Amino acid sequence: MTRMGALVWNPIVAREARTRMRSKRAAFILFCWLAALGVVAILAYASAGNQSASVTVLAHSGVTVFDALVAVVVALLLLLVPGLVGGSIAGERERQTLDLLLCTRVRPWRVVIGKLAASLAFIGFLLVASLPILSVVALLGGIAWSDILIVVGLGALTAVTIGSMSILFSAISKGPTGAIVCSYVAMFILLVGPLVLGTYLLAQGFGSGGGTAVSLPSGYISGPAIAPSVSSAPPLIMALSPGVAIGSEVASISSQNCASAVYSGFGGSFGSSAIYSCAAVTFDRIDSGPLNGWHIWQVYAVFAIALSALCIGMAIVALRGRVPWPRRAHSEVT
Amino acid sequence: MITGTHLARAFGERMALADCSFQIDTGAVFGLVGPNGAGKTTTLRILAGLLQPTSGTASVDGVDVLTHPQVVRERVGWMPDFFGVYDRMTAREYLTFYASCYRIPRARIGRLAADLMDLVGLPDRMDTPVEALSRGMKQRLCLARALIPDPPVLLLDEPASGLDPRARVELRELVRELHNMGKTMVVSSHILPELAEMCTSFGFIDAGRMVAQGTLEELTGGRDRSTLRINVAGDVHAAAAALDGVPQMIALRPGEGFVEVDVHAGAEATSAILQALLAAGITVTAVNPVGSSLEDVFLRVTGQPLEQSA
Repeated sequence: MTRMGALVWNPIVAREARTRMRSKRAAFILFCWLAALGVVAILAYASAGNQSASVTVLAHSGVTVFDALVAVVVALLLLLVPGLVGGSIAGERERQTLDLLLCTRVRPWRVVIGKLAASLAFIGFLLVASLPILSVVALLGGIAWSDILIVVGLGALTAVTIGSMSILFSAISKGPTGAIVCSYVAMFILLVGPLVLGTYLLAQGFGSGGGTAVSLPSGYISGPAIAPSVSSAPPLIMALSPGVAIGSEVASISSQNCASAVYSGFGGSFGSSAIYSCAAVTFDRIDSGPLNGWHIWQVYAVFAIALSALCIGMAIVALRGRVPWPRRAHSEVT
Repeated sequence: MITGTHLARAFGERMALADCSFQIDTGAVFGLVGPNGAGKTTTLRILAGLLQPTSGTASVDGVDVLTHPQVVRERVGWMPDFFGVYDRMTAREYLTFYASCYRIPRARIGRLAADLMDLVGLPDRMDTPVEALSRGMKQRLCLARALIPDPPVLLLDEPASGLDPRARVELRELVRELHNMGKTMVVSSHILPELAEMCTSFGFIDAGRMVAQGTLEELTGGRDRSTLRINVAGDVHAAAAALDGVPQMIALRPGEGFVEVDVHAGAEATSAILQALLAAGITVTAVNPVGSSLEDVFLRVTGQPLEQSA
């Protein structure tokens, strides 16, 4: 194996992938995942009304199905990732195989990255397996591929972020149960905490009349939950929640595409003036301050990447502390 | 060579090791004897480069465990007192995984795994799921894993623990084979008969201290004298009278149904004692050496039996 190949190749990922896919649990998760997406897609399509009408009506159905699928995928990701990642390193510790692993030439950073990558690869596998269902959206139209990619990217980033938090708890916990519980609690705090804090600050009238403000997307139709240009810090805080970031982006995409009813599926683009009742969009962009002009999802993406890097770094440090390392600069040993 | 000098290790308030010093020659099979909690595993983990001593120094194969723990980890085959296996893997996959972790070239891994399975006596179990292996087989598979980097030193923590008699015999044979291959081994156990049969030298550890170390002959103190317990049928005082004046005898202590006799070392002493008894018409029912087993040595150096120490 070349030097580059040895650097990239991680035996932990290969082992985890192999053993995980042999478990009945993996098959059960895959079944539940696809069943949930399938059922939701059918229900959303059915609830969208007349399916035999024009492409604009179909486009509206596409938006509805898209909204529902994104909600289900994000919810399933939030449910699955802490459980999959939280027990990974802690499980090795419980099985007492962690020391055996650290006795080899595998370095702690490789263990952390390998464990995280292996768990996220399974999530990626689930997403790939659900492509036939997700392609229904493209078939119906109403949502551009670029929009789908942004939302999928945000979903993946959220999985990485929650996975990174979970791998940290897995590295510092004594057993998998504690690690998984802590991972779920952290995920819940990340999801709800910024929303609650931002809402509280808004209710207190914090920052009104200056600082950072928000603007509504062009497709805004019905009354917003947050009036435009009334707050400063709260939207920034709320943007740190994956629910808000993905939700605002989905609502923005849906309302824009509903308003203009742009059909951008397989058949190309068709303009139309038809307007359907789309979900209300709260905000999607920071309108002032140092992050003026940033999309909410962009703020979230930067935060998520920073949080992930911090958690992974701390997990590596925690794992390094498990076994001794050279006290002095490494010298030649024959 | 493996050395430990004034090793100490504290876990909070508790001292797992306190001023533990020892020296193990290259190629030796060193039995680390001691009750549970004496510090055997702590000593082995320090030697494996997995634990930092609070104070003291140690070296393995000439490498300092304090300054180069990573190098030590790669030169030592560490077999803990648990199996450390993964489910849903075959034995071949298990060894292949660890060989990859040791960065063995992929082209060599298949052959290496087959050779190791052959060495540990499991050539026909290559494609058996690990969870389907017996306890003894898992133990041997773990030994095969420890041998993957071809380490000069093997550290085996309670390898015979939980094994059935047949598996113990197989393990003992395997240790002998590895000894013949020139491996230096440290084997910890509190099952002394097992160690007595597989080790060339011993170290007795109690309450975190190495209280005695050497070969069995050195430890039993039998260089110039030994003790025999002779069970007799009939009057022990008659037996004692019969032994009076035997030149090889040093001291005599009558007991209930037996006499204990301190004699000069050597087979001729035992022979002379027996001849004297038989000449006096004393019926001898049993002759056993006293204080020459590991258990006796442990009792002598620690002042209590192994079971009470545990």
